[in-house]
This record gives sequence, structure tokens and C-alpha cells, in this order.
Amino acid sequence: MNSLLTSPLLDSLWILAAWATTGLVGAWLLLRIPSLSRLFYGLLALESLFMALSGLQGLAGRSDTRLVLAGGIPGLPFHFRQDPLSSFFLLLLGAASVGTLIYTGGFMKDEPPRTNALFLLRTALFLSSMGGVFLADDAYLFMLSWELMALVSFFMILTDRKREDVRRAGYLYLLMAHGGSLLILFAFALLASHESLSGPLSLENFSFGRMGQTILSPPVALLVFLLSVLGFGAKAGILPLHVWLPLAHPAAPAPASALLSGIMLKTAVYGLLRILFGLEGLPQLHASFGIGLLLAGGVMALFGILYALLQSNPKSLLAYSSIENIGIILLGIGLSILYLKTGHFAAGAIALSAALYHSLNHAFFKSLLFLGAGTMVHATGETNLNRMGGLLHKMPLSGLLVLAGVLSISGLPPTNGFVSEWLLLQATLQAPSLTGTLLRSAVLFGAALLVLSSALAAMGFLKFFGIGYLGQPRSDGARSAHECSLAERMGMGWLTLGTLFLGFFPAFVLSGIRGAVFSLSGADLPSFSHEFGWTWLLPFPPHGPSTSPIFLAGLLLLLGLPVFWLARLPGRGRRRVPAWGCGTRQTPERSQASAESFAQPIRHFFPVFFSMKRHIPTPDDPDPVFSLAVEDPHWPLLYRPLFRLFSLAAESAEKVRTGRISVYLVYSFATLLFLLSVLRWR
Amino acid sequence: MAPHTHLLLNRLVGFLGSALLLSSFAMLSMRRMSSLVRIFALQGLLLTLGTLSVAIVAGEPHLLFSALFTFIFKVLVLPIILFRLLERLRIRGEVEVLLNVPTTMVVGLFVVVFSFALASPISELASTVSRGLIGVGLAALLLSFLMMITRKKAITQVLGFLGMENALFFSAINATYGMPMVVELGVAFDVLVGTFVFGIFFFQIRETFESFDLKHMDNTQTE
Repeated sequence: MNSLLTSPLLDSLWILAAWATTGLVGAWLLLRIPSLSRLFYGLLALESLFMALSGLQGLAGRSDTRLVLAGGIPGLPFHFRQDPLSSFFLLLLGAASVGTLIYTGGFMKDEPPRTNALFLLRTALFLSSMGGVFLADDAYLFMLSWELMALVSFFMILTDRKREDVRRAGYLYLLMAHGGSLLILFAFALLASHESLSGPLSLENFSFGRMGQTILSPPVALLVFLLSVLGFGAKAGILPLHVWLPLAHPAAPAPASALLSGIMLKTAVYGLLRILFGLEGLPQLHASFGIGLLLAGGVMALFGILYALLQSNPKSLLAYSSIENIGIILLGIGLSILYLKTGHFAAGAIALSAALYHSLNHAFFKSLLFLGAGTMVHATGETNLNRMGGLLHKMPLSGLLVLAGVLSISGLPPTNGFVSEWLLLQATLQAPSLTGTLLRSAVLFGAALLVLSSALAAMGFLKFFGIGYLGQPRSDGARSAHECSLAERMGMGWLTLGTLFLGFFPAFVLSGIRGAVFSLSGADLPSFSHEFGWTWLLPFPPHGPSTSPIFLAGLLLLLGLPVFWLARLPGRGRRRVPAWGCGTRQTPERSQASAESFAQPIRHFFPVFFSMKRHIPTPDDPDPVFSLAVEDPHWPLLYRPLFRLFSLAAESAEKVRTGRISVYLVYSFATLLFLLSVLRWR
Repeated sequence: MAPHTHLLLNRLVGFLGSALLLSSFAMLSMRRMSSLVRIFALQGLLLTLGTLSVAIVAGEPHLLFSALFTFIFKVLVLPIILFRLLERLRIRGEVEVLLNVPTTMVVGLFVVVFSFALASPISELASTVSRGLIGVGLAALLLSFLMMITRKKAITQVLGFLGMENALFFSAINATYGMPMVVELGVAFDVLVGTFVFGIFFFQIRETFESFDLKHMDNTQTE
């Protein structure tokens, strides 16, 4: 443990305070001088940058510092701790939010001052509360920050609160968030109370330091695992608790979606890691927990990307893709538990670092893509991909930045998405060293799901980019689209740079992640030093598989240049014709592939996953209308029956309520008699 | 104190307790509003005497103050307020009941049996001289509750409520020699203030509904 003065914990705490202060002062000033908006978002971005540096410092020095501050509840002051895991997530929070904040300054400039000021305040408090989640070292502070985060994000979703669908999405989110918090609270209570069998239950038991020493019986350990997976899963969108995600993201403004999906989902990953590895502790986990998490993550990934493919709203497409990415991260965590519990420490460490790496990657490229979707919606005034198209000509720079995000999230070779998915795949390919057919087949099944969903992700984002940015404009809004503001492009540019960096320098990134992995699992990553140094990634030295994104990028460039040169070769009567023109002179916009037609093969191949309502007109129908509605099967199969059951129970309970005072008095009388007799003849 | 007097006083406390129980039954069966208030005053007097005798038997001087306060509030102030209310609201009619009186009395009998069964372990645990009377207090409490249930008019509800308070006070005295003085004073003032508030409400209720029948207040049903 390092001394407090040299550790980044104090810096991080100061930045939390600075965020909140900037938000409060900024909101107050913006109401009076609206033109200051970009300045304050810039200030927040600067503080985020410092947060990233603080996280980086903590990771580099592997510092682990605790601090107890007055406050909290009697008997339980605020405990803070910044260990490598916290540092890693603070780095993620800071680095990814810089871009979003710069972007927000440009995005919100045309909003009325009141909306703008409120959004600034909420954003600042949101960042601050997420930082609090990462730094909390007792259950009270954790839940306080967690709930504050849930509330503030609820209000961020409700920015456009006059729309009915926005309010519904917001309330569904709030419901899920609170249900999840309740489960997390139960998990904490189990962890805190089980230690006290020897001594009296004191509030000090709720500090993470004490919870980490608990000894749980196997059933309780399983219960804590399930509670935390479901509780954090409600936030992260684990099946079947994901239904709020595809509703909330289209409802929220783009920067809010970017923060929610890019960073807030990671707080759930952090919480899960903290409870499973930190508080419950690796010795009390069981290999079967890993299998469960692995399969849940794999199914989530496949389900998420299949539904992402079907979406025509770019933001709900991205929301479903977030489910896929969280699935991949959970798959990695499950895999690492499985390996670590069966004694394969190197593979476990690689799987865990792949999960962390993917969290970082997802924070960058998903924020970038949500911001990109925001510019698409802003520029065209449309929310349906079918009414966009041809945007690359109108907004070339932001289009290119989005393309970088699309390539990364598809996991194409020289990008960061490729690195983390490749690492995870390499970890799954260590399955033959496991003993037991069940374990091996579970891991390989997970690997198959992972590969399938990455391939489908590439298809989904081809649709996102192809329908949105390529081809011909499909509506007047798309025809009159304009490039977004400088601040927006700068914000997206920052995120693109981050994505590229994460892709090109994996060995450097992994050396940072090593500290967090070591503090979690006690297993160290193999050293990446190699004859080619930092350019080459070799997870299982000395003879394992290896890759080098930089080398691949160079190779691509080398192979691509001649093609480019050939295509650009002057002369020989090159002419430009409208795309999808098919040689006719008519406007080709209706002859393009639509968002639905792009996904048709998927609907055809995976019918079990979809609940479709299709109406195909008969040939002699005088007024033929083709309609297709695809719904998330969790609504008709789970949620609506649940709601019906609920309202049925409520209605039958309603019969008790006659509205007559005497009858109410009889109720209290009978209750009193009943309770007294229970007390007496118990 | 001679053991002879002691025994006598002990008997007196027992007698007063049974009289209290009887008065609760009387409240259940009364048909005229003014006699109801009179019985309430009588209950207050019995309570005062009971407190006084327990104070002497147990040698608890602070109970003397309790007795004084009980007398002032429950025998003088509250009945006077209630009578004035009846007068100003011109209530002379009969008490209207939801459940007829004989049935209520039978239910009341079962309630008394139940309360004694309930109180028997508490009586064994308590160390007071009058511990046998805890059951009486409990029975009086439940009977007052029963009165609140079976009567139609709002003012009888208030009387039932005040009766419950009396019974609670009686149980407290017999189980633990009363609550701390501060609590008792607070409760006494609460009851007084509550009666004032009820009085104001009655005027409002009559303004609004032209009647005190509870059925006019039965509009909480959501359609």
C-alpha cells in the first residue's frame, strides 16, 4: 500500500468535486449567459482528462490506497479506495467522456438555455456519481453513488420529457434500475452479515475491507453470485432484463446515450468484478459460476446482435449492439472464472484482460457511434435509417469518423475491436487443456457464439453505415443534410484517436491492464516482451499464436494502395453515375436496399429468435399493403404476462377496498386481534 | 400501611377495574348521545380513582399527579367540551348502529374472553400489585374499538377513540405503574388537541354533508 500523498486517490476525489462544482456553477451561469455552454463542457472535458491521467497513474504505479472520510451514516464513515481495478475504470470514465463532453458543447448549442443548463448539471453529476461508484469502498457509499447515478441518468433520458414514449422508456429504466439496486443490496447484506456469525453485527461490516474477509457456505456463495449477476445485469442489460436499453437509448439525446452505453454499462461490469473477485473472493467462487456466466454472455451476445441487425432506428441498433458487447464482456469474465478455478492461470488472466480490454474498447467505439448517430439524426431530422442515405457526401469528416467506429465494433483486423475479440478467442481456444467434456464443450460453445456474433456484428454495422451513409438520399431531410459543428467533430475525433490507439498499441494497453488483472485474480499476465517488442502481441509465450495490428495495417496499406491507384487512374472515360442507378435515369432512391431488406436473410435463418407479425397481401388484393412487425420476444413471452398477472392480483386486492370507514375499522380490528393472538400463541 | 388497608385497597382497585369494564359495555349499549358522554365522564372518574388507589397501594407518588391530570382532563374538560359540542351541533337523537346492540354485546363477551387469555402471560410477568387487571384494560380497549366499528355517527367514533385512550392508560398503570410523567402529559394534551380538532371537523362535516353519518364520507372508492 502506498502512502496517500503519492497516490492518485486524492486527485480523483478532487476531480469528483470539481465535476460537481463545474456542473452546479455552470448550470447557474448558463441560465444567464447561454453562450458559455461550450466553455463549461470544455471545462468538464478537461477535468475528465485529469481523471484519465489519475487513473493512468494509478494503473502504472499499481497503487492501492484507502481513505476514510467523515460523513456517511453513524458507525460507517465514507470509505474510499483506489486500487488498480478502480484506476482502470476511472481511466475508462475519464478518457471516454472527454470526447463526449467536447461533442456535447456543439450538440446542445441550439437548445434553449434551460435545457442546456439542466443537461450540463446532469452530465456533471452523472460523471461524478460514476466516479463515486468506482472509488467507493463501503456498501453505503457504493449504493449512494449507484442510486445517484441511476437517478441522474433517469433525468438525462428524460431530457425530452414532453414525449410520451420518452417518459415510458424513462420509467421502465427507473424500474429496472431500482429492482437491480435492491438485488445488489441483498448481495451486500449477505456478504456483510455472514461474517458476523462470530461477532456482533456492526455497521463496520459494510465496509468492503471487512466484506472481503467473509467466509460463505456454498449455497450462500451461489446466492450472492446470482444476486449480483442479476442486480448488475439489470443495469448492464443481461437477458431478460435488457428491455429498457433499446427503449431508453433512442429516447435519450445522443451524448446521454453515449455516456449511458459507453460508460454507465461499465459500472455494472465493475460492480460485478468487485463483488465476485473482490468481496466474494476467488476461493469462494465455483467453476460452474463461470460456465453460467459464459453461456449467459454468449447467448446475450448472439441475441443482442441478431436484434441489432433488425433495427431501423440507428440508436436502437446501437442499443442492441451494446447488449452484444456486454455479452462478450460477461463471456470473458465467466471464462476467466472457469480457467482460474481449474488452475489455468495464464488463460484465466488473458480472458479477464480481454474482458477489461473490450470494456475499454466498447467505451470508445460505442460512444463514438452514438455520437455519430446523433449527428445523423440532427442533420437529417429523421430517426429511421430508411429515410437517410448518402450522408457520406454531405458530412464527409464525421462520416469517416463513424466509419472508424464501425470498423472497430465489427472487429476487423487492425482495429481495437479485433484485438480484444482475438484475445478472448485465444483464451477460449485454450479449452483443450481443461479436463472434463462438459467444461470443454461449454467453452467451445461459447467460442462459437462469440465468433458467430462478431461476424453478425460486422453485418449489422455494414447495414448501419451502408444504409445511413452510402447510396442515395432517401428523404428530403437526408438531401439537405449538413456537416456537424466543429466541436462535435472534435469530440468524435478524440474518440476515434482513442480507438485507433487502443487498436495499434495492444501491448502497451495490456501492460496497464495487467495491474488490474493481477489485483483481481492474483494471476499475472505473461510478459509481452518479445523480439519485436511492443508491436507484437503474443498472449501465450513463447510459442502461442500472435498478432500485430500495426503489421496488419501496414500490410493492408501495402495491398490496398495499388487497388486505390488503379481505381483512381485517370483517363479511359471514367464517369460518375448515381449509385443504385442501374443504368436508368429515374431517381434511384426507391431501388436501393432498405434497412429491412438488408436484415431479411437474418430473419430467414434465425426464425426462432424473433416473434414476427407479417402480413403478405394476396395477389388479387386491390389495395396491397405489406407489413412486418418484429418484436422482442421477451415482451409477449415474459413481460406482458407478468404485467397481466400483476394487474390481476391488484384487481382482486381491490375488492377489499370497499370505501366504507366501518369496514376499514373492522380490518384494523381483525389485524390487531390476529397479531395479538400470534404474539400470544406463537 | 397496615396489611388490612392494603388488602382493602387492593380489592378496591379490582372493583374499579370491573366497573371500568362495565362502563365500556355500557358505552356499547347506550342509545342516547348525551348518556354516552356521561358514561365517558364516569369512565374518567373510575380511572382517576383507580390511579389514586394504585398510587397509594404501590406507594408511587407520581401516580398522584397522573390521577390529578386524569381528573382534570377526562372528568372535567373533555366532557364539558363534548357536551358543548352536542349542544351547538344540536345533536339529541339516538345513536345509530350498524350492528344491533345485542349482537354487539355477544361479540363484546368474546372479546373480553380473548383479552383475558391474551393478558394472562403478561400478568404473570408483571410485578405490579394490580397485575390481574391488565386483561381488563385490554378488554376495555378492544370494546372501545368495537364501538368505533359498530356506530354510524362520527361523534361516536371520537368517543370510542377517547375510550381507547382511557383503556390504554389503565393498562399502562396496571402493567408498569404508568408511563413516565412527560409521556402521560403529552398524551393528555394530544387527546385534548385531538378533541378540538374533531370539534372543528364536525362543524365542517355538517356544513358539507348536512349530516354526521359516516356513509357520506364513504367516497374513497375510485371508479
